[in-house]
Amino acid sequence: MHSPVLLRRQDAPARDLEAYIASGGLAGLKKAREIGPEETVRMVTDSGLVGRGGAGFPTGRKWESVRTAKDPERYFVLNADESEPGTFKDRQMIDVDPFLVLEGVLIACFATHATRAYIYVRGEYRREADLLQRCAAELGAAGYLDGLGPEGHALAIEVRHGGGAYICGEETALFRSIEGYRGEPMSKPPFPTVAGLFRKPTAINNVETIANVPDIMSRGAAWLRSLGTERSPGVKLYSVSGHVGRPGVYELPFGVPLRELLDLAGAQQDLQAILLGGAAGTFVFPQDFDMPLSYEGAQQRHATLGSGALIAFDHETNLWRVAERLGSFFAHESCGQCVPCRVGTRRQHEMLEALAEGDGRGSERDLLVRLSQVMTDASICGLGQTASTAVRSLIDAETKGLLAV
Amino acid sequence: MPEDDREIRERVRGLISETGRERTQLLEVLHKVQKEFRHVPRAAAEAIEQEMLVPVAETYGVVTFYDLLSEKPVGRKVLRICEDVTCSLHGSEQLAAQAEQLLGPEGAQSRNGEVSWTRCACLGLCDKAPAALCDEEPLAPLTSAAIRKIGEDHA
Ligand SMILES: Cc1cc2nc3c(=O)[nH]c(=O)nc-3n(C[C@H](O)[C@H](O)[C@H](O)COP(=O)(O)O)c2cc1C
Ligand code: SF4
Ligand code: FES
Repeated sequence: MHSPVLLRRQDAPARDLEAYIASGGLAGLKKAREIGPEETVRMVTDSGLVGRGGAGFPTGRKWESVRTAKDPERYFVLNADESEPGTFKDRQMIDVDPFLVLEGVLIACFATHATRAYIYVRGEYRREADLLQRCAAELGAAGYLDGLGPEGHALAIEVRHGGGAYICGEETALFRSIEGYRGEPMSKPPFPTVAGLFRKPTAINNVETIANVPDIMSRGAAWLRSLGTERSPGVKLYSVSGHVGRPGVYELPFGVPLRELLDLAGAQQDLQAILLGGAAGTFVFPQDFDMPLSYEGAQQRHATLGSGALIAFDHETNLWRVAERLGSFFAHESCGQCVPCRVGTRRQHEMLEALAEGDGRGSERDLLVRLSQVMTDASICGLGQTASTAVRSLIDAETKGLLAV
Repeated sequence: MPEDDREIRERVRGLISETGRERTQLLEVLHKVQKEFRHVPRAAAEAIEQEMLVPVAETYGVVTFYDLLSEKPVGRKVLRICEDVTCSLHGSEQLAAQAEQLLGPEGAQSRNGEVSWTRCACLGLCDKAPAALCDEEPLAPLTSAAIRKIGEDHA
């Protein structure tokens, strides 16, 4: 039985600084200050921590490029925009341990010499944004931000509220949103570590990624590597919902079979399928429920962990209807900036509507596959590139005769 | 009662001075305007143009981009019903139909402007599906009784 790391305070949340310190908090920040920025980044690199926001980029490498950037003006951004359908682990993480998240932010700012920290919280998470704001103020009042800002000043932390747009979770769109513009993604390169927020070197991390950092500092890089698998060190949070008895957030070391997570969440024995990784994820069928939950394990089965969202479907569920919901989501959330995605997500939705109603003309599946190719190849950002991933996996499964309805 | 444009401009100037005049504060200012006036009125966009040097057209470009901001007044209470994957497995469509019946057409104001409702994407409350947000408060799981109550209290 895995005893939780990130969620260790879930039964007794530490929502004030005193309680946090009393339960061992801020040891990671202390360690970082002792060994300095360069060693701090090295420890994060050695731990093998990769981003939990979906893209899986090594966190240490990101921090190192910002740490060594020439421009003295640079930023750290915490991505708390969590809007991937089926995902609610960042909300839970903030709610049960806001100071753990903020301690991670302070260490990141220290390690990258950040001029200022921005915390971008989705607009619908008002309570969580207020909680982070209050906790950051407590840290400031107690002097923990002192000396972390430029030229030995106190670090400024700004909490920003999203406007209700999924696309603002994409890092470059998020920067535009903070800058006061429509959240339209920009082409990469340049990457954020070179030209990010306000065109300055920027490190941006997901909430869950950052929550790993204090323990890496206080327990050592080898500690993270002692959990999980060789290629996926550490633990992962999963948001489980749908046809399960105990929906909620679960923490497991990487490498545990998917079946075990389903059991923990009280899934019935004969599910039809699950959707893994959110709207941009893939459908996974029972024949693959022995799949190890790790980046490499998912990849081997042509799946993705994505944000760690898992939605379970029983045999009564019409999966084409589920796909229609996904299609509707992408058509609504496309920022409209580039044609393959703006037009493609709408055409895709229309065809999925027909298939869900059972009045498709038979040519939809071929068209969907061709459209998917165009969107994947020609869209500017990850939204358009992955808007058809789930649909593709459903078409494959149908060909193999795996759909119940 | 429709506010006087001069009053609106005055009030928005106040909001800007407590938030900041830099372009980067635009979304924060608009959130406050939306909360106070239930939409972003023309006079507010004009005050923003004067104080923050953001053209009116650009402000509306931003307003129309974000779901939580609106050009037209919404009700004094706004119910957002999630219609995304998990919630649709748990009956969100029936709840939306009920909202339509009890609160009026989606997105519009109710007869006296007290309450309005819309469908929305995943709210990150899927573990308590079917989910909704009533102003800033999560309402999950949403029940027909809760919708009826909102209707009786506010419509
Ligand atoms: C359409 C789209 C939406 C995204 N939404 C989120 C999100 O809600 N939260 C998040 O942390 N990352 C999101 N990402 C990934 C970010 O762009 C970025 O990779 C991430 O914040 C980096 O942090 P990490 O390295 O700690 O994962 C999204 C990406 C795309 C393409
Ligand atoms: S792929 Fe879609 S969301 Fe991304 S920039 Fe293009 S239109 Fe916008
Ligand atoms: S699907 Fe409705 S809250 Fe997530």
